[in-house]
Amino acid sequence: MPRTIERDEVYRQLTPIFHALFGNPSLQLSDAMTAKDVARWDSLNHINLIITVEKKFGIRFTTAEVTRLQNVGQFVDAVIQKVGSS
Amino acid sequence: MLFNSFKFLILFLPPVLVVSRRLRGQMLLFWICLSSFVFYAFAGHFWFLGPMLFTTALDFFLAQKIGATEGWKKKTFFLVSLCGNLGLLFYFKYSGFFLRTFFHIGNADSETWQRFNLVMRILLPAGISFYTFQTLSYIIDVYRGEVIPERNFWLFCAFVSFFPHLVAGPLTRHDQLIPQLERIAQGGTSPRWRAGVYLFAIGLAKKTLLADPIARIIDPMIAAPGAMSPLGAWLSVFGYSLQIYFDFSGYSDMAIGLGRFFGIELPQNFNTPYVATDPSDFWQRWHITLTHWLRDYLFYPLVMMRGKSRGSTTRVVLSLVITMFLAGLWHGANWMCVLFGLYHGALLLLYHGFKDAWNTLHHLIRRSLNFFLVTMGFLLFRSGSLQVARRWAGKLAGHAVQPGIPLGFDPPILRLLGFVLIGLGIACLPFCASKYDRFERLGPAWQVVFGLVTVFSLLFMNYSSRFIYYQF
Repeated sequence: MPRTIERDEVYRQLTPIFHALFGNPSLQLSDAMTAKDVARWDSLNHINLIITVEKKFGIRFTTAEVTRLQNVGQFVDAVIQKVGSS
Repeated sequence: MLFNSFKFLILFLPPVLVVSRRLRGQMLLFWICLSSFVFYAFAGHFWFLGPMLFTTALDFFLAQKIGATEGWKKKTFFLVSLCGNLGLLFYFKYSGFFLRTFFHIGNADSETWQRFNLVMRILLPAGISFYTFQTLSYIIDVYRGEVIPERNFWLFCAFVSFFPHLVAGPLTRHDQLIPQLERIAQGGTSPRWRAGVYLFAIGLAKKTLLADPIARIIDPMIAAPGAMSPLGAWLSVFGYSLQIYFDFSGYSDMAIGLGRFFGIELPQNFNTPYVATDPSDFWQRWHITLTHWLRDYLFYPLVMMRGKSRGSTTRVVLSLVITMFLAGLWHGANWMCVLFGLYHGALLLLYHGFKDAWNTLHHLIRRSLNFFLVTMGFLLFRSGSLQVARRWAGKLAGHAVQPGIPLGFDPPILRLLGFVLIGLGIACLPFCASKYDRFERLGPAWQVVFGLVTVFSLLFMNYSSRFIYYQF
C-alpha cells in the first residue's frame, strides 16, 4: 500500500534539516524560496540536503530531478510524490 | 574576427543586424547561421568550421535517434554522440598533452619529440570547449528524456553557432537559447539597442582600457620572473588577477550586449566575483555558466551514481575533486591548469571543513582573504610551468632578489600600481555584474561619461590583443 504524506508534515520535517544544514535556526521555509535566498546554499550543501532528505523519508532522487528543482515548493512536491510512490 | 576590432564593428555587425531586422522564419535562422559561420571562419582558420559543423550535424542526427529509440539502441546512439563530441575535443585539445605526459617527452630536441611533433602541432579550433559542452548538455538532456529532440536543423544550428556566444561563451543551454531563437524566428528580432550598446561598451572598456594595458605591462615581467622586484612580483600577480577578470568578463558583457541586438538574452556569466566572501561564493560569481554546467552534468551525477558509497562523505569529496580536476583540464591542456583546478578543489573542501570558523571573521576580512587566495590560484594558472610558478612565488616571498634589481617605483611599476588600484575599485562596482540593467534610467551626465569612455575604448582598440578565453 503506497504511503501518503501531507504537505504541512513535509514542511515540518524539512525545517530542522534546513536549519542544521545552513546554520540558520530562524530560517522560515516557503514555496517560493530558492537557493539565492539562503546564505550558504551552494552545490555541496544542495547535495547534502538531497542526501539527508532521501535518508529521512526513505526515497531516492535521480540526477535529473536534483538538477530540475527550482525552489522549496518543487522540492516539497517531489518529496510528496516520491513518498506516495514508494 | 574579434569583437574588439573595426573589422567586426564596421564591416561585419551592421550588415548582419540590418538584414536580420528584415527577415523572419527559416530565412532568419539561416541568416544567423551564415553570419555566424563567416564570423567563426575569420576567428582563426577557415577549417575551424569543419569540426563545429560535424559536431552540429552529428548531434542533430543522433538526438533524433536517441529520442525515437529505447533500450540498448538508445544507449548506443548516446555513446556514439559522447565519443564523437569528446573524441574531437580530445584530439584537438588533449592528444599532444597526453602523448607528452605518457611518453615523458621533456626535451624538445629529442628524437621522440620530433616523432610526435606532427601531433603536437595540432591547432586548437577556437571555442571548441564551449560548443562541445553546449551540445553535450543537449544530448544528455535528450537522453534523460528532459527535452524533445529539435527537428528544425537551422534552429539547432543557430543554437550551436550563434556568433555572440560561439567562441568564448557564455555557455548557453538549449532551454535558454532555442525558445528565444524560435520566438525571433516567428516575430522577428526585437532589439534592446540601448541596453545592448551600454553593455557592449562596458565590455569593450574592460578589455581595451583595463585588461590590455595591464597585459602590456605584466607580460614582459612574467616572461622574466628572475628580474622582478618583490613589489613588481606582487603587483604583477594582482595585475594578472584583474587582467583575466576584465578580459573574460569584458568578453561576456560584449557577448550579452550583442545578443540583445537580436532581442536575445544570454545568461549572466559574472557577478562581481572579487567581492565573494568565500571560495564557494566565488564559483557562484565567476564563469557562472561553466560552474552550473559542471555542477549539473558532472558533480551531481558523480554523487548520485549508484553504488555502495552513494551519498557518503567520501563520495561527495571524491566527486568534488574529480570535478575540479576536470574543470582545470577544461581550462587548458597542461599540468598547471590541472593544478589550478585542484587548488580550487582544495579551497572548496577547506572552506566547507572550517566554514563555521571562517564565517566568524568580519566580511571585509573574508572578502580580502578570498581575493588573495583566488589571486594565488591565478599565479598557477598564468605561470605555464612549475619552474616559473616557483620563481614568481619566490619573488613574492622576497627570495633571490638580485643585487642590481631596484626596489621598484619605476614608471611601469607605478602605472601598474595605478591600474591595480583603479581596477580593484571598478571590479567591485555593480555595473560589472554583466546583468546591470539600469542603463535606460541613466542621467545625462552619466551618459556623457559613458560616451567618453566608449570613445577612448574605440581609440585604444587598435592595440587590442586576443581574448584569453579564446584558447579554450
